[in-house]
Amino acid sequence: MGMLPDYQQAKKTTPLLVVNSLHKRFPAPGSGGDLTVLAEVELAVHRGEFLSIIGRSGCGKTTLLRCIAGFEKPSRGSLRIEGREITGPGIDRMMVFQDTEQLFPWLTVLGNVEFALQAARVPRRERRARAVHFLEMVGLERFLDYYPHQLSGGMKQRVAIARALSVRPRMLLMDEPFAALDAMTRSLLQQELLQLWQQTKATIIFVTHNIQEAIIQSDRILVLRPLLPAGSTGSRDPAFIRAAGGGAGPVLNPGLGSMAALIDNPLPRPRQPDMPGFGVIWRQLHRLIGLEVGTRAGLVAQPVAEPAAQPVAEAAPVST
Amino acid sequence: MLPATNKKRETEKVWPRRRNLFSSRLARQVGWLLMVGAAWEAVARAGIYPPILFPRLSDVFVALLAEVRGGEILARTGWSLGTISLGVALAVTISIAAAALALGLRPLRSLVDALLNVLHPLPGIAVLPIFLLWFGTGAPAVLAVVVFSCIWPMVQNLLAGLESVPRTQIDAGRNLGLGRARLALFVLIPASLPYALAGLRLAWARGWQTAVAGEMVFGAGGGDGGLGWFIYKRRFFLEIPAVFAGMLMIILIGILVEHVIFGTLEHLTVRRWGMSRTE
Repeated sequence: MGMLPDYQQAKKTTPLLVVNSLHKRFPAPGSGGDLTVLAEVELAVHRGEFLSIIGRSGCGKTTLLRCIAGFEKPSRGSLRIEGREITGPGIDRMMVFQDTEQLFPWLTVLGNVEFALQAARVPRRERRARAVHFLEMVGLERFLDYYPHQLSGGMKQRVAIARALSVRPRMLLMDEPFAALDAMTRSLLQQELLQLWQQTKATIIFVTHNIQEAIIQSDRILVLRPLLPAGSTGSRDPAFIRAAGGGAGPVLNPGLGSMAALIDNPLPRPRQPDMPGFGVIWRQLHRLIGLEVGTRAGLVAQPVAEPAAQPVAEAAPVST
Repeated sequence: MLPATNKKRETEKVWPRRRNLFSSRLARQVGWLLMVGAAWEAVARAGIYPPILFPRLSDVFVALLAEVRGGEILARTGWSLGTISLGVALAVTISIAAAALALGLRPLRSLVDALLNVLHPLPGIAVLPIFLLWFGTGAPAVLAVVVFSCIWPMVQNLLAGLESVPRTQIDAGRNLGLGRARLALFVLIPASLPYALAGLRLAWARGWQTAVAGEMVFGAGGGDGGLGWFIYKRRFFLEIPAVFAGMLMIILIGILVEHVIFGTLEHLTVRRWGMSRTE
């Protein structure tokens, strides 16, 4: 009945994914210059870990995930999975998108999963049984012959999850997969995803802008912040650094990079929003994201009043 | 293994199939057509216009029957259908090649766009005089004009279809490690099928128009020629009911192709997959 995440043990071994000094720039429309979306991202993800990436829109969450997926090439720095440089998309990193159009509409539910297995070079004889197995895991065994347009949004996302898991990827990358769903379906799918995670011991990186979702699901939470405009002194201002690092509050990343903080989530599972300690983390994340009036994402931190379950924050979250 | 909550999701709604809509709409349309036909017959019988210019509808049907019995109209129809089918088939082949090249090689994309912008507005019939000089009189020139007028709507729709493929579906394909060829074959082509079918429909309609018009401008040598030539000849001899019979034949073929061939094709593919934009 090991409810403790396996990644605690896995931490001692080499990480599955290592992101080193990642920068990502896009050409800015019109100006001819570049727009820096990600800077100085340092991250190590271990096998079996559930990591959430959170932050306001436009702070590079999806870009980071797309870099890991191999859809985007880093402008600087490197991404390695099991020591190998990530050069492009591959079935070892399966992405589940927010968009419910990610399924192929001309294939049935079963066909969509079988197509993935075919692409993954699974022998024809095994495909059907394996596809059915994973569709059973998401509870869609009665909808094998349906076409995507005949399914609800929640069912489509379940198919996408089954399709992604069926090729047995090294990691599952999820880009706000439940954002387009209603609150009830969303909460149901969160619970199911956690069960799938425990059953399959998958490694999951989950992008969300929902604080509660991040706390309920993840072992660690990476908070990203929008980058300051070029030339601004920003957090180099000593006052900011004093405010950021001072007092009993969480230690933040005072640099100029995208990472506001990387915090551990020690709450026991299963988690509920009314459990002790939940509110502390919630408020901490709320502040880090910069949702409070008068603060700037992750730069100004107030000391946390509650003494309970103080999560450990890491200023330099590079694994050693 | 499954959580208890999974039972609930089986109640989630599935789209109902609507069947009566089409049949009732069809019945209404047929009703209107019968009324228009009756009005035609009544006006013709009233003797306001000379029968040579405005024949009775009943005489048109009699003429159609006679032409079918005599066999000429069927031979002409067959000739037209042959020309158009061959023309559309050639146009589709060329269009697919052009779209593939435009997709595969970026510089060619602007070439195809440029040709499309310049030549698409040019009606096929306008190039017939020069095609008659290039390809010789009769069948080859008409075929060339049909191909010319079918290519552009087809290419335009194929390219628009390729551009309309949802980004996420392409990413999902790339995520599965599909290379360019397999991505095109298994994702881009099926995903752009609604546009390709719309293009085919348009190409067929243009093919008909061009073929009939082309045959009238320059019929065909000897005993050959299609429905356009048939109509032209009958008008020359002032057999006006037979002229209308020729038009009726074009309408019948049009309905047959539109509803039976394209309708079936759509129901088997894009409508079944929920990809049709007109549903």
